[in-house]
Amino acid sequence: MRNVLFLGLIGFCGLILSVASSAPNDGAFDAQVNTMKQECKDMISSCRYEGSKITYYVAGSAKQTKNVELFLFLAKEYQIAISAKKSAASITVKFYDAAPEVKDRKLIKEYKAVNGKSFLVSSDELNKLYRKKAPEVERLKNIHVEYSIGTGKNVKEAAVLVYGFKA
Amino acid sequence: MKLNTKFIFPTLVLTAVLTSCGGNAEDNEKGKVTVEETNFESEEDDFVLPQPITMAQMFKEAGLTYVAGKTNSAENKSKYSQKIDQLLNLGVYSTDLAYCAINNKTQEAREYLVAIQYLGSKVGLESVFSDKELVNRFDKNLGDQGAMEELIYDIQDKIDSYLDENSMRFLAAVEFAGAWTEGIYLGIDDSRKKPAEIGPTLVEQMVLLENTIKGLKSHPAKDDKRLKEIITSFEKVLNSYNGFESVKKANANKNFEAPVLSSAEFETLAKEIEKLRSSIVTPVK
Repeated sequence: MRNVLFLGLIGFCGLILSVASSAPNDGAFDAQVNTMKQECKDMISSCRYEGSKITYYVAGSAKQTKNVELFLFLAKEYQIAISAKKSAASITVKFYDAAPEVKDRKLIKEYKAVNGKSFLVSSDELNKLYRKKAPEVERLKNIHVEYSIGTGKNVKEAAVLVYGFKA
Repeated sequence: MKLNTKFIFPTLVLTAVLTSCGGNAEDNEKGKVTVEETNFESEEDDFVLPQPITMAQMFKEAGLTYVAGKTNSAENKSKYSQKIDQLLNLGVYSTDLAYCAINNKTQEAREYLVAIQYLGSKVGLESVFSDKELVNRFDKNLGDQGAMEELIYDIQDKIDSYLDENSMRFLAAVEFAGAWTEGIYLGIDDSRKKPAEIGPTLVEQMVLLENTIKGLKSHPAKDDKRLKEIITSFEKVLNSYNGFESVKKANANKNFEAPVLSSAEFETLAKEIEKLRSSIVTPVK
């Protein structure tokens, strides 16, 4: 009985060590993400930095969505830079005026197949489109960015968002 | 933030391993709380919180006036011994710095910059704040409000980058909680005096409270007594606010008109905020 317990303990320790050694710590991947973030910052270099979000995912065998909520409180022109340059899985980026659970939320703009690319969108453009759908709203103060991620290899990937406003 | 159950086991095991190896740790008064965040997969619903100076700018645009003595004294900076309080007050001082800078109170702003450097170095952000050029650049820009504001945005950019690179974003959430509380607190008096001008801006910033709590809950040291107390205090404010009739009637879409609080609702909220702020800035003995 003691031998069985001892072997069990060794097995558990082995499992711990193997999980620890295979835990995500990919320096090259992190460097790529940092480069993407810097590129996004460069795209909005005329702006004051407001914030950023790195969205990590593993594409796998099922489609998935990830949402990022942003606040555009100041009455200024905000610019949002998004990079999915290192993504192999197909990605569509949709800009909404509310969270997924809000009834009748409106799609403001959609960018299809952005994997391998980066792009920039301005709040002026989003406001122009939004006013046609919700004329009673003065300007967007809150937007929800939805990443629709297609299937792909079972590897870690990331989409980077950086935003700021023109002073 | 929702916990991704797929990764609970690896995270627990990794944490256990790191605990035994003395890995990345956040000290607690009664012992060491070891924390490790994996960036393996993001939440399904995530958010970016605005900068403390942006919230201060919102109030300024609405006509908030500067009142001397309202901010947390920079002299308190060395009185916060627990990491959670250091982080919260780093946020409080970030708002105070912004509040002074946008109101051209340069000497006061400089004191808050020094307080931020001090607390920043206490919470593991030494490399961000070790740059002596920061104060030099600040001094060079005294009197140039635009340049000072630029500098404050740059500091936050540096903090964000450092936290991202070191998988420590959860620290930013605690810092923001302090910054948010101080911002709302500074707006209370003027909201009483000028409810039509400042009141709506204060209420607009209430939409950040839910995400602030989610951010606090994302901190890995979930069993830390002080963190639990703080989360409970924030939840109390949110529950009060969500219980207001005006808030219940408001549109769930945050782009539509913010709720207009009745005087009684506003006073209830003001008292809750004052209590919350006091629990943050009063050093724990």
